[in-house]
Amino acid sequence: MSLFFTIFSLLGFQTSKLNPACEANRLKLNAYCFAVCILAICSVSYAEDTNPLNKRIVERLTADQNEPAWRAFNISTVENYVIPNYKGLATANSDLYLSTQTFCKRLSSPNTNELQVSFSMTKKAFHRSMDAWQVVQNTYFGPIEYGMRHHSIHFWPDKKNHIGRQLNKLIASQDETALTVDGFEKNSVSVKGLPAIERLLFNSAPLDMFKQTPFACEVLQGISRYLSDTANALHDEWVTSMLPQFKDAKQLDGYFEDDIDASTALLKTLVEPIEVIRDLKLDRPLGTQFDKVKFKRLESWRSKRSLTNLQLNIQSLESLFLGTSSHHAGLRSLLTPSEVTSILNDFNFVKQALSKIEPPLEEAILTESGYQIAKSISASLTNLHSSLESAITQTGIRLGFNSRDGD
Amino acid sequence: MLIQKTLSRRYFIKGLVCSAWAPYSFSTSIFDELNKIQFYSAATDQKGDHWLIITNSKGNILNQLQLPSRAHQVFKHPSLPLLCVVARRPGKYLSLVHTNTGTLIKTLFPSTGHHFYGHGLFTHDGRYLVTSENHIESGQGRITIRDRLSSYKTVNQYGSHGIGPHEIKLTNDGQTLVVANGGIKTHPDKAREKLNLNTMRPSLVYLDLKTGQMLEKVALSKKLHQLSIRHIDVNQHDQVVIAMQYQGDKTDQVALLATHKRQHSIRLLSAPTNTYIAMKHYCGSVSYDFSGKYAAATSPKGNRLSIWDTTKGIIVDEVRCRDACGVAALGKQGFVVTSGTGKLYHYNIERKEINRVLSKSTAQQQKFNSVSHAQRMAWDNHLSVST
Repeated sequence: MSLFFTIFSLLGFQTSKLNPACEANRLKLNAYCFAVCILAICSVSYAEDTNPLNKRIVERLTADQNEPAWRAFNISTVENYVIPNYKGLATANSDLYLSTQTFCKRLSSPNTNELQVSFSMTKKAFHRSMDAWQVVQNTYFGPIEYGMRHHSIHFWPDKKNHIGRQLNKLIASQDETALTVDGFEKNSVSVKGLPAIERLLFNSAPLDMFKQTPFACEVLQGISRYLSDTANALHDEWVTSMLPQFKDAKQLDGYFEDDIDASTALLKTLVEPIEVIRDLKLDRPLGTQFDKVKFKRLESWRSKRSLTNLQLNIQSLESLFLGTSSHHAGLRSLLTPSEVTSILNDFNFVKQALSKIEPPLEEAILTESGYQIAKSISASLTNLHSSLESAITQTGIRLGFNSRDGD
Repeated sequence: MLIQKTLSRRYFIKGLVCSAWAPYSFSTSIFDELNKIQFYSAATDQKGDHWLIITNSKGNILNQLQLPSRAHQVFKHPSLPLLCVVARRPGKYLSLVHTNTGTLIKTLFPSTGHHFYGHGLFTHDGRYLVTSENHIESGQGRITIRDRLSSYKTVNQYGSHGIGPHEIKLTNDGQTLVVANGGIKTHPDKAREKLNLNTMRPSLVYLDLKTGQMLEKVALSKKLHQLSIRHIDVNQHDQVVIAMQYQGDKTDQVALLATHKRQHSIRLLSAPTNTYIAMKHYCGSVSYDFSGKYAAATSPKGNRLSIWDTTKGIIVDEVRCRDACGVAALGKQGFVVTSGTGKLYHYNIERKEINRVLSKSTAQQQKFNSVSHAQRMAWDNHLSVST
């Protein structure tokens, strides 16, 4: 039975590769190939190969043989996960820009209550932008790689207090030209994004600061306009430039080499951020032992939302794995049932550990019990990373080898 | 618009007119040329086992040998059918292998209290085997010379005049050893942890091969002390091309390629800011072409292959290439590049064109591909080519 499925799936694959009408009949063929591959995944194939080394390696369809299924996964993931997430960021950042404009207009208003309300609305808008960013933060390849936009949106960790120094310098300069669209581009990446806004909105006396230094409000608007423009540009670029790259991964002068290359790019955004979250968002603030904890190393300690960030990160990664709807099956559709179960268990362990933290995380890790729970989140992330990486390796996709080297 | 230009695998560098881009197309002449050639590289399979792989251009493994742990550089004896495989840092073995049969001839071990750094070479006359090593207790770099005619007995050992000597090369007269002292202190007991990032001071050192006497030592400015000088190549004019790895802040914008000529200071090569940013502070390997004018550098973390005019000191081309790392000159045809995804590419300098040597895109290649096992291997950092 297994051999039958293998031969059947290979035949299907060959047909799609050699058929000159493939482009015209893409949808039909996609559906056919996808169905074939689903059957093929259920089987375990052994390549007829005389090389003992090779025989040992191949235990089910290689990624190359399963390319149509990966292609379907890619397109579905970009359409149902990546693009909607960037759309979410664009919407939230546009709202943030509107909120900061309203707030700054009311800064000179004698109506204190109105000002308070407007300030509160701006802080809420900041939270929504940060929420949207935490959901899309893992998608770090493609358009966001250019022009240092990832660092511009979220310059973190700021080990040398670049943001503080550059933000003070910008505010003190009172230089209007540094806030024009062109002028703003020339500013340091550290003052262009959400952490800079967080410093302006969440300090000991933000309203007094804005009243005494109205230019700070100009800077606030300048940053939020940049964030709005950038997020809208990123969304547009994903729709107009990036999606076609996934639909035809082998196009001449394309971004990718083939569908597997495109899948690798997407899968890396599921697996590699787990290590980043663990190492930077947890282990670095936690240090090696309880008396070494440094809560100011948490990602958003000023706005006390570091726990929310973690929850949103995991939620986003889980939806990339599970899919977002019945039309978008996610990575799980390409794995075996036991692999899926193991990964879902590991996701649950992370979520359970996160739910045990008494918010805010900034205060919880200063208690012995909270610290231990945070340590257990870190450990559960290691397990999740390991089970995802091992399952993906079984599909024949290698996320990175030399790229993870240090020699 | 920026994004239109950048969302392709190929980035056209300003001022250059490039020929048509034909990815993965099949070139008969290149293939014929490649046919005569053997490729040597360390590789890791999907089970995590490590191998020495000798392959031809069709991707057929001619010989393979399982290795005790992950290896780094593989290099061939200048005249004998003899390959040397050096274990990856902190390396504990060095395997000597017969090129034609893939059989293990002898395993060498570092001298007491030392480990290999993954690189080495045979002297031009083929008699001596030279390796870069770490004296573990002091953390100082060592160069060890073994005599092939005396069962590889160590006949000389001297300091590399720096910490973390990595790749080593000889000048054209074969008398001067060029050492890339990476500057990063490590200790085998602390895995691969970097112990001196704040004080590291990499250098390029020229030593008298026979005596170990230091002839010249150059370093980058103090500001760039975290730019680790790791991989080098020497051209026929004894110019050294240097590919570096940056250990500083993630947002720092630094050059990663440089050249050096004796009695001069190190010259950083010029590239658009975005190019260096895209290389993610990391170069994995570097090689001159046959003319000694162009050099190719790989950046596996940034998925890039970049081509440099070392006469003018500028970048001339860059291509997106996932997990690209091994690179070697290939006759007059340009470069061969290997990747951690198990692929082999050819880059033609004249046409500024990259082709995947093993590809399913044509029936002709598919024929070879069906018997290709090499694709399932992750090629390790360095590639050697021999006709």
